Amino acid sequence: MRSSALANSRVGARSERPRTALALLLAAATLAVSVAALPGLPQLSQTVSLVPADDPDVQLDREITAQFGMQNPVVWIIEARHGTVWTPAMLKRIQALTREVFTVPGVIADDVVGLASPNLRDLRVTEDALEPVYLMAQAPETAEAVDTLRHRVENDPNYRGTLVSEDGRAAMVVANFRDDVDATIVAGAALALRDRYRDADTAVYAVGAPVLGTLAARGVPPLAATAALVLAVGFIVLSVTAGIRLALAAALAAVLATWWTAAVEVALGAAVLPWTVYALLPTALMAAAVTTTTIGSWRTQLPLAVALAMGFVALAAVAGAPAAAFGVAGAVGSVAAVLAGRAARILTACETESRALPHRSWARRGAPLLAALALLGTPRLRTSFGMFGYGARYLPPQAVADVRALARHFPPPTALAIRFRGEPGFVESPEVLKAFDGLAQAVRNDPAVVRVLSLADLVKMVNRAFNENRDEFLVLPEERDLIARYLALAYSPGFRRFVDRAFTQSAMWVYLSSEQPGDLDRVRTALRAQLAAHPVPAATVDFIGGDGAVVLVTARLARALAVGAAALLLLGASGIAVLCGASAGVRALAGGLAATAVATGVLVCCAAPVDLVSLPCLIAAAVAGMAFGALTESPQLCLALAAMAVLLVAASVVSGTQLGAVFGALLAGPAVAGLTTTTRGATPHES
Amino acid sequence: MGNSMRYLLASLLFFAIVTAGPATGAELGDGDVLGPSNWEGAKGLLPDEILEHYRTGDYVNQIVDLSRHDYMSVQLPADFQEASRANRGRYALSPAGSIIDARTGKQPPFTFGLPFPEIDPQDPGAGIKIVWNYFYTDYYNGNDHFLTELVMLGRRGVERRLATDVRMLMYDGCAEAKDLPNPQNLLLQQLARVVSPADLAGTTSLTWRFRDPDKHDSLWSYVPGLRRARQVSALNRSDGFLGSDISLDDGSFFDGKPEDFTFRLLEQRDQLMLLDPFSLRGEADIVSVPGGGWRIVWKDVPRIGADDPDWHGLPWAPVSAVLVRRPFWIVEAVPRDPNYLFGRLILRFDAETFLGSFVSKYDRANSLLMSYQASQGAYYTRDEGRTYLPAGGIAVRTSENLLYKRATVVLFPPRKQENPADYRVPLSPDQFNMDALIRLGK
Repeated sequence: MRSSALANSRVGARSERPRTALALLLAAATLAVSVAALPGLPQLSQTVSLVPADDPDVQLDREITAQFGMQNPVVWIIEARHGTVWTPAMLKRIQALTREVFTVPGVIADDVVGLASPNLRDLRVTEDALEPVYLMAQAPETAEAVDTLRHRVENDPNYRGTLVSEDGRAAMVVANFRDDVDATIVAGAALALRDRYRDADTAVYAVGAPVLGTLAARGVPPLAATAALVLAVGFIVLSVTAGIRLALAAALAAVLATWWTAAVEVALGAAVLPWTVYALLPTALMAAAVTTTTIGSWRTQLPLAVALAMGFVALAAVAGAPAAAFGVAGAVGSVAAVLAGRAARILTACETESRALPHRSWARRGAPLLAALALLGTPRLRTSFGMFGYGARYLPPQAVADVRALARHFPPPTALAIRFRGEPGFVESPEVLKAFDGLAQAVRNDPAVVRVLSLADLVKMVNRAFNENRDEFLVLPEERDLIARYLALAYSPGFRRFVDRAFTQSAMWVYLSSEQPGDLDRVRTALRAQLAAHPVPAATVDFIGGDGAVVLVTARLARALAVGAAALLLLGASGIAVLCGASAGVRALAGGLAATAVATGVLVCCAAPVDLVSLPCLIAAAVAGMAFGALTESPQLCLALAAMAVLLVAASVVSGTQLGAVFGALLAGPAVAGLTTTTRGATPHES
Repeated sequence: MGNSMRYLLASLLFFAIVTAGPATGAELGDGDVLGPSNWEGAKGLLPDEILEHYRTGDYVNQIVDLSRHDYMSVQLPADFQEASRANRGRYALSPAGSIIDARTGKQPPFTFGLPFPEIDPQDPGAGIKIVWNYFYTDYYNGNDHFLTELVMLGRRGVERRLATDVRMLMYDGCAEAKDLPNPQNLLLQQLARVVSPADLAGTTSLTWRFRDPDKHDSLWSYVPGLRRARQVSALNRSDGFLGSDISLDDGSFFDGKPEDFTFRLLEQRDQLMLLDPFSLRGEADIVSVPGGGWRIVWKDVPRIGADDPDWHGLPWAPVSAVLVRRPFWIVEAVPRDPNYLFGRLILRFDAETFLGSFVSKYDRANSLLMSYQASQGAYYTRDEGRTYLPAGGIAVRTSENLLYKRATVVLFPPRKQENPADYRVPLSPDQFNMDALIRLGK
């Protein structure tokens, strides 16, 4: 007995030694990649790029916005809780708030727009006098004066629905801010203003990048708490069903794999946010799968990682920048997942053996059924690439109410912008303005177009004003000199949206009620055809900018990503078939497809559209599904993921934001895929 | 012990020598060129936004010491000084800030010289009194007729250029206005006609400014294409004029109606101001105008950076001006109009001549938005002291938009004797009515 105990102790000591060595090696490697990544961390925030920054349309949009638009706007919505804003008290409140907007640090006074802004002017014309007046110099104090103002605003297509909502319930004040001012200061002042003007009669909301950034930051602690809760639930489920040692191993593998991948990407300067982060999600799932599977050894799991990495490289090649960073990080992550999974098993002294689930038949039958049902919902999946939608979908609940108030009262249009460049004063030519007008007419009747504005419209309005507001003068003058004088005499801050002061550049804005790429593309095609048929004389045309152009770029990127994902699936599955055997390849493909179907189904159920957040998560789900299909004989892990997915979807429903739904889809897909392709079931054995 | 003490003292002395020095950098002297190498020497002597231009090399100007005997005096003319002395105790301020006769409490029909020759910094009305002194120093120059250029510039150079022929008839503040009938209580009348570019030529405007504190300017405009004169009103005097960075309230330095602002004297301190070196050196070229008055013939030198192909700083840099250290009043102006673009203005007036140098304009969020920069000169007489006029070789007034990184400069073109740059010209009210407006516009 004694000798046997001694022998056991020696064996134990011998088996401890490699683990200690491995732990030291892993610690050293982790430390090394972390240290290598440190210099790259400060630059990480500068890599944020959802769409290709060097795309000509994106660059043009940036230039046009800087020149003629608002780069950093904040919007306040003043909503009457009862009735409309057309009362003396509400108008007085709007005026007071507007005046305070001018005191917010960093505000660009010329770019404050609202009913009571001094930047909004009318030209009051009589036989002998031409009197510029503010749209609302003072808040009207009588019902009659209110009616006059209301009539003025509601009968002007430029004001109706923009300054005051179509139903009259809300008014809007927009202000542009310098981009060199601390966003937190702007946000603090903007939110303080919002809160100060809120009371029993008035609801006030604030929306805009600085404000939403601050509100999003405030939403981080509850978000982190939710994430911690979800992870804890997953860990508990896995611990209960498969043992705590395996749960620890899975968690360690996931952490190590994501850490290594992120560090390597940062160290290599290949990280691009948020694309690199997207790749960390399947990396973590794959690492957990490697840890818990009973299938294969180093010799089969590494080829599988290589096959998936090849698929990711294909995705990177097809999708192009910046989404290529997703593919590159995914390739690194695939290898890191296998290494971390294997290492975690050794470190935690886990060994797996097949063990069926208590209700295995239920799981095996239910999962494919679920996948099939989800597949049926796939056609209902919609797309949404407008930037405004991201805020409404993914911001924390603290901000969503404000964003939704804006969407409710002033649905933001999608803009297409065209810039014209010529010799100084070229916009004073009647022919040039007629060409602008013709271009506007070409799309004005499109069902998606709500408004088209160019310098030609301003000149027409000034011509009418200078001619006693007679409608027959709402036309372009034929004389160049007269146009030049109108532009000089009637120049006001609002002209900046349409012409630079050297009169060498001009912008035309086409506003659409739709953000659908099909609508945008149709209008863009019509504009291009008109420009080809009737070129603007002596002008270079920069076609096309505006957030609509960015939506089209986004849609193009999404299409490329989808094609890249298909390539990833096929190449990955083929690679697995070649390297690991045909059945593994088939299981991987089935797992990938099942995961995609289920994830899509979750998105459809939660009314979450495809965008550049959900689409990479769908792809991540598909990749994890492939890994689960090929590897996982651990229905316990699938159950844990399913539990986490359910929690996330529930949190999404409760909070009203769709971030939980998207991550729920990401977890549900591989979970169901794993259950669908499970043949035996596995659980660890402690060594 | 003794040696230790000596070492300690020596160390302290050495440390003191090493660390001591002027808190604001090296002392700037006559002939020094203020620029990136010595800008720190001008700390506190220039507004921060202007000093920044010298730090970056966007502005570079020579410093001149006025005490050198070969420079002209920049003091106010003798007759003006005499009239100012006579005004001691004669005037007071109304509650709205208007000048009133100290005895009658009514607005005086005519004022000549500084209305408030003695400024007490403790006086709560010191700020507005300084502003009134500035105005009456400006009015002293009398009727004028100038060809002016409004040059709009971006960082890459000239964007637009307008030339305007401007005549101004004074009803107050100058010798020739003393006996002019003024039933409408006018301060001045001004007729401006756009000369170029060709498509704007003929666009003409007529302005009447009233002395009545409650009465705002009357403006009429004639547009040739419409063949009609119409009264127009300036809705907001802080708006850019014709899309430029110059506002109606800029004028030659500050042209707001004093009663539309509240003023507060912030401090008196030495400042650097831009001056015309030709004027200081006595090199003003002045000829008599047939029919009366004196004409300045401007020098053929670069006035701003854009005039000089070799200049690498800002295109609106006053490249030919010099900087002179002078005592200054620094006054804060807060507009009463809630729709005025600016929340406050910091005006800097020469404490002896009341001429202006730099205005810093802050928006209502207290961010610096605009800077107005004016160069000044010395007074000349060509008729043995009967009349004086501010004359020289260059004159630059720049309104710099710090937000949009651009500027508009008022210049006086283009160095030909036939171009009007006339002071003390005989003008009559008949030249400033509706008929004259239409006649000139056609």
